[in-house]
Amino acid sequence: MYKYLLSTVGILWHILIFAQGNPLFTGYVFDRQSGLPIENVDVRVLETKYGTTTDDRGFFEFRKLSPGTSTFLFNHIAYFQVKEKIELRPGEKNEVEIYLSPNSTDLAELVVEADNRRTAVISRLPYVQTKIFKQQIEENAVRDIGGLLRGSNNIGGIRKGGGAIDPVVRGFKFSELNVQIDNGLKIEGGCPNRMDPATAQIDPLNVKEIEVLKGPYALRYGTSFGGVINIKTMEIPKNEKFELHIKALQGFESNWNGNKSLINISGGNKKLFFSLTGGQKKYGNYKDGNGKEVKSQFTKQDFGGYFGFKLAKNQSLVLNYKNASGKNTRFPALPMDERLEQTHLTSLDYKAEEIGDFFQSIYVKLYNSDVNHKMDNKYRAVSDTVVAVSDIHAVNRGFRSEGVFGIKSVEFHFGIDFENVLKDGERVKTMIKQYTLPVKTEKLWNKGQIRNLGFFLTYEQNLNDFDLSASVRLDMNQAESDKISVSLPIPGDIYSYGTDSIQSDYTNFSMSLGATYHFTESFSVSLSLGRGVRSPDMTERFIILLPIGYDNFDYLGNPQLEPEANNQADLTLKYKDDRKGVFQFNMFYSFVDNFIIGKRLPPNEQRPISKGVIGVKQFVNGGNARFQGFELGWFSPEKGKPGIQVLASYTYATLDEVQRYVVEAGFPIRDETILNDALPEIPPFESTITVFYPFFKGKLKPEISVRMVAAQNHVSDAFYENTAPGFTIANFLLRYDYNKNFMVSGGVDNIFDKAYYEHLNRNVVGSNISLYEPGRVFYLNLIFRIWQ
Amino acid sequence: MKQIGLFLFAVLLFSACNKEDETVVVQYKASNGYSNTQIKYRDAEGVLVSGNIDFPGGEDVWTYGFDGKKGDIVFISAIYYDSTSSITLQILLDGKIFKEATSNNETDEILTISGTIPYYNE
Repeated sequence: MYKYLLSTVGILWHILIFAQGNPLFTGYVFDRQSGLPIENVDVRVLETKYGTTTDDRGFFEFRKLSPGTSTFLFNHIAYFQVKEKIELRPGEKNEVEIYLSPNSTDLAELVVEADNRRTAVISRLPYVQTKIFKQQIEENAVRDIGGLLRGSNNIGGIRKGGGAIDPVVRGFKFSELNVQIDNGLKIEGGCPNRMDPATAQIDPLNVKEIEVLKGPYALRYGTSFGGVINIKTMEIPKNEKFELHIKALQGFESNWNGNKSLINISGGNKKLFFSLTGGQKKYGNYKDGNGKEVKSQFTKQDFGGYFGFKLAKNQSLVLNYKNASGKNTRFPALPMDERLEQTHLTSLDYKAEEIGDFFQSIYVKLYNSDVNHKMDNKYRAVSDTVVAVSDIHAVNRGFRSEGVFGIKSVEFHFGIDFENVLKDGERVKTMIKQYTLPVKTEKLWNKGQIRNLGFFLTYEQNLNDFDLSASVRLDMNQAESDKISVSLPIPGDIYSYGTDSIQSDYTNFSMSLGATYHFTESFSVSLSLGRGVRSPDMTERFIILLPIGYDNFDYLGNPQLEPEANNQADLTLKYKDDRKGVFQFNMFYSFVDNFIIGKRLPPNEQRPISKGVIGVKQFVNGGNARFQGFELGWFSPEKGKPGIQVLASYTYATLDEVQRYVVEAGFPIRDETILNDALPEIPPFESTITVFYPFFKGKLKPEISVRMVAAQNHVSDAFYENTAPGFTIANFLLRYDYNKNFMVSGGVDNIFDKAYYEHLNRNVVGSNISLYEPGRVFYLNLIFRIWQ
Repeated sequence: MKQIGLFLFAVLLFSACNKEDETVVVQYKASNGYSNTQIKYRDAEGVLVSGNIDFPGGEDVWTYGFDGKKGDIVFISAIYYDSTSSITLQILLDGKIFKEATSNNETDEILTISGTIPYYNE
C-alpha cells in the first residue's frame, strides 16, 4: 500500500514544481474606537469570487489577484461595512490598514460570539453542518470533547464515567461516525468498551474549532456513514512580522473538585511558526443531584506542539506532535476502569495554495497515532476472586492527499486517503483466592489489521439561484487477524477454517448529491441524497469475547461481516432576515441496510468467559434499520438585544426485525422475533433556549440557558433497554473581558441541583440504574493572554 | 513588567501539581500459630514464594515486607495440619491493616487473604 503513498506524493511534488506565485495583497483590520484587531472580518473582492476572513490579529492576505484596481468589501456584523477601491501594483507588496467603526457600541464585543452561534445554526452546505468554536470551550465548564458536543443540536453522548463521553450524532455512533483530527488524522482507541474514543484523545482546551458534518455526504474526509467530526487544533499565522503569544488558562470546578490548566506559547510569522502547549486536568468524584457520590475521577496530562515553515510563498510544511496521557480514570458503568492511557499523535502536513487559476491547491497529510491502553477490574466486586488486567496497543497510520481545481464557478476536489489500523491486546487474569495463585492470559485481539484505501472526487458549482454538489468515493478495504481462539470453556479455535476465514476484502462505493435553490436572497431550500458504505471495524470483526455492548453479553467478532450502507436524504430550509433572525429547519430520513448488530450464539456453540454475563452475542448483518428526525435552529437578529438562540431536535430509529432473548433465572432460554423494534441508545426530543445580554460594550456578558429533554419511551425491547424520564436543567454563565490580556468567566451548571440522567448514560455495573449526571457545579475560568 | 508578572503567575498555577507517590509499604504477617504452617505469598517481584513457619520452634510472628506499588496484587495463604492449631494472617499497607483473617482448628481449609493495593484514598 505504501507504493500508493509514494506515487501520490511524487505526483503532487511534480505538480508543485510548476506552481507559480501571484501578486501579494495583505492587510490588517482594526476597530476604529479601541484600535484592537478585529477577527472574522469577511474580506471580499467584488470583481472576483475570492474572499477570506481575518485572523485574531485582524490580518488577511490575497495571493491570486491580478494587478489593477479592485474593490474590496470589509464586512463584520458588529461594524459598519467598508468598501475600498485599491490599486494593486505588479511586483510590489501591497499592504493596507483598514479601520471599521462599530455599528452598535454595545454590541461590538459580543458579535464574535453571536457570529459563531449563527454559523452553528446555519451553513452554506446543502446538508447540516455544526461548528463549535474555541471561545465556547474556554468560557464553559468543559471537560472533554464528547461532553462539549452534547450541547449541540441532535448530538448526544454515551456517559460511562467522568469523562470520555462518546458522541452520538442523530443516533449514529462509534464507527458510524468518522472522527478525525486536523483534517485527516485518525485514532484507533485501545479500549474495547470505548473508554478512549478519538474525541477523548484531544484536550478540548487545545481545540480551535470542531466541525460536525451530518449525514453520508462529505466524502472528502474518508468514509462517511453517519457523519464526520473534524477537530481542528492548528492555526497557521498570516502575519508578516514575528510575534510571540502566550496564553495561560486555569479553571476550577466545585462538586468534582476539578481543576484544569493550560499554557500555550506560540509565535512566528507566516514564514516560520511554532506552538507549544502543555495542560493537565484533575477531577475527583462528583455528586449527583441526590447528593450521591459517583466514582468518576480522572487525571489527564497533555503536551505537544507544532512547528511549521514556508517552503515557498504558497507552500507550507507543518510537523505536529501531541502526547496525551491519562491515569486512574474511573468508569462505574463499565466492567473495568482505565489505569493508564498513553497516546502519541504525529502528523506532517504539506499545503500548496493559490497555485494557479485552474489548479488551485494541494494538501497532503501523513500521520501516525499510537495508543497504549491499560485497564483493570480492581474496583469491581469480582476482583475479590479474579483480578483482570487488560493491555491493548492500537495504531492507526496513513495519509490523506487532496487537490483542488476549478473553472469559473465550478470547483473540484479529488484525492486519495489510506489508513492502516493495527490492534493487539490481551487480558491477564489472576485468581487471587486460589492457593496457587494461578494466572491465565486471554487474547482480546490477536494482531488484527485493517487497511483502507480510498479515492474521492467532489464537485461544487455555484450558479445564480442554484448551488450544486456531488461526491463519489471508492474504498478498498482489507482485513486480517492471527488465529482467534479461546481457552475456556471450549478449547480451540472459534473459526474452524483457520486464518483464511479471518481475512476479508471489500470494495465499497459511496456517493452523494446535493442541491440548494435560493428562492430569494433570504430563503433557500436544500436537498441532499447520499449513500455511505462502511466496512466493519476492528471490534465488529475481531473482538474475542468481551462484554462491550449495551446489554449483558460477551461479544464475539465476525470477520465475515458485510459492509453496512446508509442511504439518506436531508431536506433543509434556511431563512435569514435582518429583522427576523436566522432560521434553519432540517428533516432527514436514513435507511441502513446490512445493519450490524449482535445476535446470540447458542451455549453449545460458544459460552461466555466474562464473569456475570448471560451469554454470547456475535456481530451479524441484522437486516434494515431506519433513522428519521428533524433539527430546528433559530437565532435572533444580529442587532437585537438580548440575543436569543433556540435549538430543538429529535431522532426516531427502528430495526425492521430483531431477535429478543427471553431470559429466565439469569439465562436466555429462547428467542422471539420483534418487528419494528426501537434501536437502543437513541436520544429523545430535546430543546435548548439560550438568552444573553451584553453590557459595557460587550465586556460583560451574562447568559442563561434552559435545556428541556423529553422522556424517552421509545426503547428497545430486544435489548431490554430502560425508559428514561424527561428533565429540565438551567445553566448560567457570566463572562468578563477585563482587557485584551485577561478574561474571566464563571457560572453555574445545573443551577437547581436537579437529579437526572441522560437516556444515553450507561447503567452502573451490576445494577439497572443509569449513571446520574453531576449535580450543581460552580466553575471559574481565568485566561491570560500576552502578545509581544 | 505587568505582563511578565501575569505570565509567571500562570506558570506557577500550572506547575502547582506535584507527582503522587506510588509507593506503598506492604507487610505480610502470620501469627497465633502452634504448629508447622506452610505459607505461600506473592513477593515484591510478583513471584509466588512458598515457605514454612516453625511456630513450635519459637517463632511467634512471621513477617515479610517490601515496597509495593498502587495496584499491585498482595496475597498470602497458609495451611497447617495439626487440628489443635490456628493461624492469623494479616496484610498491612503503610502500617495499617488492609486484610485480615483467622483460622482455628481447620486443617482441611487453606486460609487465604488477598487483594490489590488501592489506587484511591477513599
